[in-house]
Amino acid sequence: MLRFHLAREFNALWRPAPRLAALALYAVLIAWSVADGVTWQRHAESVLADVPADLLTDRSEWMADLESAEAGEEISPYAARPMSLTFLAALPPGPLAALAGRNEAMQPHTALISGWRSEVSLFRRYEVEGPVALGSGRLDLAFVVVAVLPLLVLLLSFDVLSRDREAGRFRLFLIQGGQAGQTLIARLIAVALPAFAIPAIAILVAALLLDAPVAATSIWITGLAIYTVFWSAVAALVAVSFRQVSTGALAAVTVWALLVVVAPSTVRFSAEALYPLPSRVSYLTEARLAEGATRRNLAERAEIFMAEHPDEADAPDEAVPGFYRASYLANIDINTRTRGLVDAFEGHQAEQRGLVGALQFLSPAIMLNQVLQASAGTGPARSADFRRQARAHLDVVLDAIGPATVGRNRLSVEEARRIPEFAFTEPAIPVSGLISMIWMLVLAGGGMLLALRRAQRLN
Amino acid sequence: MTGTLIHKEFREFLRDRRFLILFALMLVLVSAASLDGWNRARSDAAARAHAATSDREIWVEQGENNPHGAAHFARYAFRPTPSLAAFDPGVFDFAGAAVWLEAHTQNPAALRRAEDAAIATPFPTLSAAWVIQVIGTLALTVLLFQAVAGERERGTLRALAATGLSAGRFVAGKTGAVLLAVGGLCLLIFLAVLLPGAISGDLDAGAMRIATLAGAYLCALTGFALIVVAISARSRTQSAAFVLAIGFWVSVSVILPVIGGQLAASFHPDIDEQELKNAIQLEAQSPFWSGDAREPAVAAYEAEVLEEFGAARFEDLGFDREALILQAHEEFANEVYDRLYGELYARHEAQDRVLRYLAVASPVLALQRLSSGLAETDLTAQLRFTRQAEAHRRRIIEQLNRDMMMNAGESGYAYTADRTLWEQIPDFQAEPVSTLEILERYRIEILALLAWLLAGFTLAIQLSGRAMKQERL
Repeated sequence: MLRFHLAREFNALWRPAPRLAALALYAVLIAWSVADGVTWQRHAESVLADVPADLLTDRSEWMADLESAEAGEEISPYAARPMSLTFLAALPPGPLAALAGRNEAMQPHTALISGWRSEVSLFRRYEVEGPVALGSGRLDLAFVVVAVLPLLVLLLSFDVLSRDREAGRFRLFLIQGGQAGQTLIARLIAVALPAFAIPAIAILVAALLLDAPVAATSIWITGLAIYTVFWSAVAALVAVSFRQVSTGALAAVTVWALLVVVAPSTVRFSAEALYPLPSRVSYLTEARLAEGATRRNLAERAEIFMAEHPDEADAPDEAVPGFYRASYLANIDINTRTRGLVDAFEGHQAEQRGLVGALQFLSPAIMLNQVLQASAGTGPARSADFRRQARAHLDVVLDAIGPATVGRNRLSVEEARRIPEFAFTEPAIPVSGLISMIWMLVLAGGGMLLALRRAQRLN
Repeated sequence: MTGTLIHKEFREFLRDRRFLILFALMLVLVSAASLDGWNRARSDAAARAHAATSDREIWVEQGENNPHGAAHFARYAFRPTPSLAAFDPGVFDFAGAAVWLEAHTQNPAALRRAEDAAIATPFPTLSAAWVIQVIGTLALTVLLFQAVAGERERGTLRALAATGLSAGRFVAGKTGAVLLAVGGLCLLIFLAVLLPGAISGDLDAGAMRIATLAGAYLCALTGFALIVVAISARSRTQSAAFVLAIGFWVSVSVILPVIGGQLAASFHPDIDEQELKNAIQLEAQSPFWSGDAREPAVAAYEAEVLEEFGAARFEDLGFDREALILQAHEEFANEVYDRLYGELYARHEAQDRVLRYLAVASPVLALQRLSSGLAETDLTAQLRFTRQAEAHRRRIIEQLNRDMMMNAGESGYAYTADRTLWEQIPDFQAEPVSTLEILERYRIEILALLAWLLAGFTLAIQLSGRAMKQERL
């Protein structure tokens, strides 16, 4: 019987031109977003692969020079100096970044770690991107799924019963033995199936093109399925609760606006208002104050540093330019002076994310957005993790090269070997993502059951 | 008669709980957005003002230093926060807040506030302007989609048509009541956003600017409302009207602004950061310091100095040649920067132009652009700042080089200047722009808004008239 209803509803539902146009627009948006995302991800990967070699230290060449110097051979006074060691910290695009990289262009994906850098200048780069394009962001699949899919589902199913009820056809339908529940389910499936299938196919195509892991792809498909069921349940509730088309329309749009626009924006606004971040401009000001103070009192500052590292104090190599030491000391002083601001910045960012994590259960849009970004390997949390790891690596490098740099010496070969290369450790996908998906499924199931019970009463 | 119709529709709205819910929702949203916008703009302005003051202190207190060494330590130009950023942040958070004014190198603006975001949401941070532009138009869609289609489906349009009511009056009655309410709400929004700034004295926008802003919103919302009425009149059923009206809203308010940005970036891709850095090195630095561009550049600048001081030979002036070379490099590199940064900014402007032309297809996009232009949070305001900052860099670096040239004597780089010179270096002052200049720049958006208003008016009357005529038959 349901199969009969389904076949009939598919035919009836997708016949009107406005509905077909809405579905076509949805499909075009998805195709566009995925094609653009894949192109962007490939470009990002090629940029990372093409980091100019002259920016980085050839470690083996540098070590060979150092070994020669340690063996007492004559080498250039500038060769194998600790300040010339440069490491690349790179944040590779996540496995499905193409699908959720709306604001990724703005975040730093590389940093050059060396004694010439402080934490303030570590991510300093030429911000050459046009603000207009940046402000608009990329139309990624995550946005289409989170914002447009629910609107499509609601738009095409909010009146699955009320249009017949308002026109007086519903009574006739029931008299002829029709079942409200079955009609409701059939009409919802007729809408939900293409709304789910089009992005699901797009995800699979993108995963194949990008060779994405099965786990990430499965999370996307599962999240998409649960989200579609949730919004179908909302549509079912609207359909059985309102007799008039206009009231149903208002209810559908209000629910969408509340859950997709208002709740996420309000949660974000609350988090940002409760835990305001120190301004970047203040960060820069503190760094400038520290740099100015170090440069004014350089000799005194170097003496203090060497008193803390007496083993490097003797036999300095006078061929080493003085600005090596000045820059190094200014950088560690900048790091010390701005440590409080960085801690406050990271602490407040973590508090903001914590609050959003706690309040995400209010809105399926927040829940899905978090899950999609985490599994795609994008989003501010991953970017913050990269910055934290790069800063930690800078500290390791600065600690390792400090005494030799200020003492105008070279590192020993053994000390140099102990300095690790940078490797980004991917953050684990938070467990709250799984809980939120289960919660959404429970809400969807509850909503659908309630709607079906109400539909039965209409019989 | 029209007044009576508006009054009747308005009373029906007031009795309708749906309208009251929407009104309350918008009021809550706008209050939150206003408070947040004002608070953000205020704290941002305070941080930038503090940074500018600290920059001067750091500069003046640097102690004795060689002027060229000081030019490398350099100063920063901070972009002041426009007072209307509290209402419409535009692309303000996506543009750099400060420019480093160092010797030898022109730097792009840095420190984008948007990079600090710890949370990603599908839609941007709430702002009063965004609430009116996006949620306000959604409210209009929901309230008006059934204006004609609902009457037709309920059979009341036939009765109305039978009374001989003209289409113009019918449309005026339907839209007038909604616009009265939405217009009133917009007025409240303007007051809520602008009042704190006006009371605290932070609001430096003139009455003409605010009146223009209010006019633009009224024009855009009226045009949008009339289009929804036209869609309603064109549709046979309320469901079809709803699908079409929401489809129109999604297209012009949600999709087009995002796709517009993406199209802009596709047609005019951003210049690669490393490419720009390499170009600066290869064209502004290497040819002068290790190539053959140095000699003619120094000779040209030397000729200028000789002419200025009326001397035949540079040696007769007793000036420092190293400083002359430094300034000759600035003169040489400035021409390269004019070209390289000219290309970069031309690219940004080309991206902006794509959105300008797309604004013709969307009253919401046209409004968004005009609104951010009037709030001085658009690309034009950002480029104005970066150009002013670069002019200031050139001025102060020349001042430092000339001090070294004229006073270093035989000491060269060993020469040091003190606080007296540092205090003579002027602070960066952003120059204001007039409302008329902004309106001149946004004439396409203004024309687009007027065209949408006219199209909405014509279509709403024509299609409603046709619907009533069909009912009379």
